[in-house]
Amino acid sequence: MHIPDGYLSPQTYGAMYAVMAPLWWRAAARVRAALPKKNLPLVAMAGAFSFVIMMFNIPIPGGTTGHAVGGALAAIVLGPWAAMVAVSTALVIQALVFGDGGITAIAANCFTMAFIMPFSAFYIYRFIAGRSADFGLGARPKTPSAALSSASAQSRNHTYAPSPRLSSALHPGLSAASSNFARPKGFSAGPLRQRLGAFLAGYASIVLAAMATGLLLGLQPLIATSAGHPLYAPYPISVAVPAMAVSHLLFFGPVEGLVTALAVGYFARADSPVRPAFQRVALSREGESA
Amino acid sequence: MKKLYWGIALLVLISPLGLLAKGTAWGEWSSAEFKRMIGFMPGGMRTVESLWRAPLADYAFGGRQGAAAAVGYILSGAIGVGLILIAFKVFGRFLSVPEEERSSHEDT
Repeated sequence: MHIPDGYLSPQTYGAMYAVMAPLWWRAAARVRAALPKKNLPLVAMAGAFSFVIMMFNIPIPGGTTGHAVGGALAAIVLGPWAAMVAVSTALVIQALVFGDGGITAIAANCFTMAFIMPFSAFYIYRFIAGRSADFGLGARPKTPSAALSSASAQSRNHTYAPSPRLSSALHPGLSAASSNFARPKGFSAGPLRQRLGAFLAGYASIVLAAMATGLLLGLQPLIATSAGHPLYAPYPISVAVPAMAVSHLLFFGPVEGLVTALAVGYFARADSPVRPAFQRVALSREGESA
Repeated sequence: MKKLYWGIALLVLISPLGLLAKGTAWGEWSSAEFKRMIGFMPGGMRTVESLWRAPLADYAFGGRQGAAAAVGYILSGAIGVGLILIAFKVFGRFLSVPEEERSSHEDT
């Protein structure tokens, strides 16, 4: 899914830089404003994981290869903005040092793998697993309500990660789902929905990113030709989008889904270094009552 | 946290598995592959392709076959992970706010 140099017309890669510049700016601002400093190494790990998982090329019928991206896992654990920073960093290193993806195409590749993928994954996961299953380690709440005040109160107390989304679980009255999840025992619905949500988030988000890549490539013959010959990526949308979509629907999507579900399943366990918000809340409550 | 570092290290060590896959990803062909596939090389591609020479192109140095390729791949993985961790050390200077100052930043 790494578009090399020379595949995109200047109009396209220029436009992608114009689209990505404010998004990168926003991502940096969000991470700066909302990510607890102690969680920054987790963002670095997500970037490293994304980098390494992309080295595992998988052969598929038809003689081409592909790989998982790790963008869905980063989004679920850290929130979409921090995931964007993590995956973008991996993509920039890949382009500059390893020639994987072009330097003119860095913004385009970040748009598909570091923007479309984390954001779609994050909201698919949240839709299926429920808001209270968020790990809540990186992003700010959408609605600055009671959540915000309690979050800043937490940060002043220096008790634990001032994840604003924790606060919805801290006030069980806010939603029925969160009060279920916040109980110390009996996550019966939780882990299954988490794993299912993680699988589908990984699966669907990589397919969406692949289709966006196919669309960017497929647009090129429409943008620039010379004497009937395409100047850049030569295949039309009708070839490029299905080629990218089918390979990811059949092969790389399930792999991304599996990787995401296994990792989220691992993180949801009690002895893992990173746990979802509702479990940390539950554990801290247990501590209080004991 | 330590577990995560070990996990990444393990993935880097077994990364040469990714070399078993022959072929190129769809839409990532080299110019030589292009000539073979469609008979010509798109004109705009030629001008941009040589824009940047990646120092460790294709995660390969010291050879593209057998054990040399595998060692190069592992080293590439380690270098890439190292560079990302260094990048985040640098980001840390301006991407994160000390906890004490956080409450004043909450409303920005």
